[in-house]
Amino acid sequence: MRRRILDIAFQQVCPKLIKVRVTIAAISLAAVALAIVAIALATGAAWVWWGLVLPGGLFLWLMWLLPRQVRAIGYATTDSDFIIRRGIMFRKLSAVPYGRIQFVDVSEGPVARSAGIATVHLHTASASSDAVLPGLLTKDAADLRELLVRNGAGKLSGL
Amino acid sequence: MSVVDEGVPDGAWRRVHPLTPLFSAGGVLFVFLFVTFFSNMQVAIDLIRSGWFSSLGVVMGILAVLGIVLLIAALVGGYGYLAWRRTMFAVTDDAVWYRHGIFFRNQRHARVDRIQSVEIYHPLLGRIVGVGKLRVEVAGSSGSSFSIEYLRTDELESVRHQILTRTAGVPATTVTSEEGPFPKQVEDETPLYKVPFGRLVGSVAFSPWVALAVVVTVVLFAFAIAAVSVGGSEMAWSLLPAIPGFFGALSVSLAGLSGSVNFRASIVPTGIRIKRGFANTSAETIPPRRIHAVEISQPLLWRLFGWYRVRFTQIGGTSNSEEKGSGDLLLPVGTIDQALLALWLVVPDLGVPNPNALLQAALRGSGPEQGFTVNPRISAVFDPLVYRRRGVCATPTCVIIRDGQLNRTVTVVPCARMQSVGWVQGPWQRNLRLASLGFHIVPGKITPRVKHLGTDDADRLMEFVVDRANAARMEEDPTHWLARAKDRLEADIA
Repeated sequence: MRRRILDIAFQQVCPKLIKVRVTIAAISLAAVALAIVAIALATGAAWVWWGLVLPGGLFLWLMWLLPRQVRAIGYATTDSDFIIRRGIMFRKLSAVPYGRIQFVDVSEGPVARSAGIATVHLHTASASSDAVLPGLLTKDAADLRELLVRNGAGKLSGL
Repeated sequence: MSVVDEGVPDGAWRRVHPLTPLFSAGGVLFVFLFVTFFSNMQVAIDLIRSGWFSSLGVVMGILAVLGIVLLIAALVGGYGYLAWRRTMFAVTDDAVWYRHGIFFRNQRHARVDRIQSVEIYHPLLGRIVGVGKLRVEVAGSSGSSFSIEYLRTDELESVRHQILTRTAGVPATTVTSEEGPFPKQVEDETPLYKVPFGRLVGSVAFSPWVALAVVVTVVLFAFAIAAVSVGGSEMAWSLLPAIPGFFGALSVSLAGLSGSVNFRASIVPTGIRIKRGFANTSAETIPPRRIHAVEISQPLLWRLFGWYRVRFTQIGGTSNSEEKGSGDLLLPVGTIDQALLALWLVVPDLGVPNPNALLQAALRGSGPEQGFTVNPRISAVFDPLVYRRRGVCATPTCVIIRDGQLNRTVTVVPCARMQSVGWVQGPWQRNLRLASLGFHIVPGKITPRVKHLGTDDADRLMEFVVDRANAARMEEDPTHWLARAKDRLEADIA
């Protein structure tokens, strides 16, 4: 028996995604900070050091934002659709019928791989579907792909 | 082994041609080396002239240069080798798999029943060596196809054959590109409607942009005349701003005209045939199943004449109809009957007992008649003008979206064509308990969505439409399109 889409209990993605996103933010902001330090040393201008406030402040803000964002990402599977939810300020909910999935991408960046998580991206024939699910444990990602392949084949339909 | 390596039985993975990195990165690498070399020529010359270099002696100098070259070659070769090791493909019973990437690993699989075409492509350099790539085309947006590169020519043929034999179970409706250079001449052609030249000119003259340009020009003229009468003839320069406006209006009108001159539509066994143009006639046949949305619109001034325009979005339509703004017209301008006929050809069943009343409510109405779900009063905050008219009606077969107060539009999306459904809520909307629904279809000019519905309505509609989208495509009968169209036309004539 299929449940109502909006009453469905959403499954959260792996909290490791927070660590991964914070790490990536830290790496890129550290690069910016280094560049600022280099400029400050090269020019010798004292005010350039104030530029460090920018990456620092941004990092603090992201430290606050990223965990909230990640906790807002949820997904659920019914017997006919795959449902993804995300966003706090701008909430989004997408329902993708299995039969409409054209292909599935599973990818992992270097940081995500070291944390053992991967991203699953479902593509339909529509560009607006935008069904990206980051932060799945690799085992869950593999299971999900199996589920999508199996259901997609069973509920096959043309365009 | 990480997740991107799983999903394929052991031994099914196959490697690509070892020269692949050279080909795929070759061009870029070559340019990079070339640029680096020449931009650093001066450094090299300085180095050679320097005392340090001449102190090495000729033999050691050559050895140093060789060493640097070897080091670069080793680095490039090592990277190339790793990249090649990671690039693999597999053809299993139900999917084609391709994976690549060293740091950012990606694995893509396309189910065989989704594959639209498999093409072999030889780049110039590849032709010489005898390798090429296999392009696997899947329906969808840009980036939806992928290439298995590079394989030896005979291997390309066999892999292509392998994939195609597995896709042989694809329903007959899948369009293949194997039409040959001379498509068969279709003798069985039933005309539907044509657009008279006078009406076309009229439609452009009364289009919103031209009307706006005329108004602006008139106002500017009035100001100029007033200025001249007050300040004397030297104020005549104030006419100047009117000139670009005039030419702008002219160019817009001509562009609108050129794509729709001598527009004729007819039905042929494969779909709707559209011909246009006087001198160089172009003909295009659109299979109705490839149409994913229809939009009937009526700019403000067209109401005077009861004219309507019908647009459509078809799968794969963005790439080949972009050259003209009129590539997606089913009817550039026509009467209500023609517009409804055009809609009916694509969506024969609106899924309600009284489709005419529904369409009347959609085209002219406002408010909740005929099962339309409308914006709640509070949404007037966002859209004081449109909120009364905006509404959506979800029937068992399609979603009908009514929008636009001045430029009225009605968008019809068959549930069977819907790819996914999205529910979006911004911060202001949340305060007012509103949400917007998007009905995702293939890329094109039509973006079906309903803004500012009450959250309860949005929830209920999303639920209903997702259910219908699943059911409708199972029930659909793709055949007998022509018979249906013929029956209706004969009934009309009789």
